[in-house]
Amino acid sequence: MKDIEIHWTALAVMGVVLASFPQILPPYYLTFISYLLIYSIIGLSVNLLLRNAGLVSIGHAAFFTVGAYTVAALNVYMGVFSVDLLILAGLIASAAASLLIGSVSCRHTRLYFAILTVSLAEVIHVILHWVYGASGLALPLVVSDEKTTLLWISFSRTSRLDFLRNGYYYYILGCFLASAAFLYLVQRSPLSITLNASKQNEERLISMGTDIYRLRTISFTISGTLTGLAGALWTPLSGLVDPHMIHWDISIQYLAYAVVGGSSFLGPVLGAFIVNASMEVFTIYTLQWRFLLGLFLVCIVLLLKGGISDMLVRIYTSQAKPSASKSLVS
Amino acid sequence: MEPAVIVLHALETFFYAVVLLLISFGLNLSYGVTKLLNISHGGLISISGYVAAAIIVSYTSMLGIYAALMAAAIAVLAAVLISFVLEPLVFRPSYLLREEHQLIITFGLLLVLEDLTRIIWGSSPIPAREPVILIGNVKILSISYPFYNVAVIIAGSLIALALWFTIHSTRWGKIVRAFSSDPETANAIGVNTWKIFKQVILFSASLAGLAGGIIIPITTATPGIGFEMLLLALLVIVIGGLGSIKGAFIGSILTSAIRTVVVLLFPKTEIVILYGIAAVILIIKPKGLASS
Repeated sequence: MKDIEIHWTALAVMGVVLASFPQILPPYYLTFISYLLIYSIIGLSVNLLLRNAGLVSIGHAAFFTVGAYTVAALNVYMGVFSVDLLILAGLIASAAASLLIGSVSCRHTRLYFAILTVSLAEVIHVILHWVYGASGLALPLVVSDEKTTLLWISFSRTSRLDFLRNGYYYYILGCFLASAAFLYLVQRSPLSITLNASKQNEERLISMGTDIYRLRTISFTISGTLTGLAGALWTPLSGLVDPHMIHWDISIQYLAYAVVGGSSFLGPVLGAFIVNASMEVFTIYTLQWRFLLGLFLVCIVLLLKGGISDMLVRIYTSQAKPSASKSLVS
Repeated sequence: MEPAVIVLHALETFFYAVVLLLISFGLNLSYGVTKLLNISHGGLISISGYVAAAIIVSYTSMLGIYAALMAAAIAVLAAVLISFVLEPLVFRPSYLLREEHQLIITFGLLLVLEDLTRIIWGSSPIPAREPVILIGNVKILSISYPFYNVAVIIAGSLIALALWFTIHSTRWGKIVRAFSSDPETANAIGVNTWKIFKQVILFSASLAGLAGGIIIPITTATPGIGFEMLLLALLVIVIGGLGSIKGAFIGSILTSAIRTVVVLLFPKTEIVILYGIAAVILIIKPKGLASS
């Protein structure tokens, strides 16, 4: 019970702090935080699949890309300029894609599952490559003469930064908080509890009549859809999409958010921050940032044996325990 | 279709199968024994490819064709040396970790190794076609075909036979297979687990090095070659069967044959059809084709 309260309080405090950012932060940091919120949604949804169902997906970049390309294609070819509609469409498209891929991949577990997800993601990669070409799409959203609407606000011929500062940031923040709250509820739902049990003794659950395949597919679809939401949110901010976004090393990067962050619920947010911040710092100093990022990932996972949030929890409890026992003695 | 064209495509298939076999055999063997899916295998291919390219470029004028042999040998040496350093530092602590942790660790290593080639040799591609040109062509049914590829096919087939023999008939091979099917019992009988793990990792590294060394005169060393080869090798493993030695053989021939046919019939769809077929095989036969 206490655990639940701490998580909700943490979420509320984070919401208040994050809401004040557009007024106080310089452009670079504001953009960084916005991207970070989007990546945090991905980290949380990858974590749902990883921790509850024990499934390691190397195909999540596909859902991000489907969400992003849906937004881009509707904007470029169909002339849809309502951000809400675009993101809704991205959400629906990625839900369909993740249901499709999930219903195939979830027949298996472990490495077979992982390789099925990466294979099917590559299929989507090639299809997008055919349809939209290797150079991707640039969006006229926000910057063109056409009136872009975001809820009740409208923009035209605005820079993407002003668009972000005067509304879109709050939109992203809202989506992040809603996704986090939703995923938190999912994590405490019977769905996740059953999946967690299946990690320990799958045969027993099956013999009790549980349809684990269905539960895994549902969990996968939720995770994929929210990753797609992140992709849809990302596109108006970046203004262009390209097929490299679906490459399997991006999917592993998403896994790294969850693994580096650790097993507690908000761990992946921390993980996304650490991975992206270190990437930003490394790119300032060297062209060979992949080298440093790789080294960093190896060290952090090998040395911490679990994520950063687990380490924090361990430090917290090891400090709290002696004092508690002391008070008992006295 | 003319018979000559068919022969040509058959040779092409075998060439590709040999390279895929070298990579996927090592990957599959080391997964079977250590249960660590070593993504950084792709990085070894890149590094050994670049080493081979550098040697070919600078020594062909001096040694002629033999530079290619030397390049392959040093490529193998480089891959083994790197693994020798990495095994106690990185692999050994991660054998017992969870799958996702192993994935991130070996992925991090892949990034490091791939970028190492950029740091040492820069980002521009290094062509190393000299051996292929020097050795010349053979005439097969009125079509000329590079003799280098034929030599690789012959050498590769011999290596494949040797691999099969090593795993099936030697004492070491039997120990390795024992570890693959039941590590606890193998350990209880008194085989040193860490020693076998290390040997297997070095053995598969040497195969990756060889693959990188022999493919370079055909393909040109470019950043990221390891990434693509790795993904194909993963497909081979899945098609053949995870951890199965027979599966690596079946998978590499089949993958290569599918690739040839698909490239012939629908030139632009190569990859998507390969992945599609892999997905279908996984759905029908989850444990791979080698499982009965």
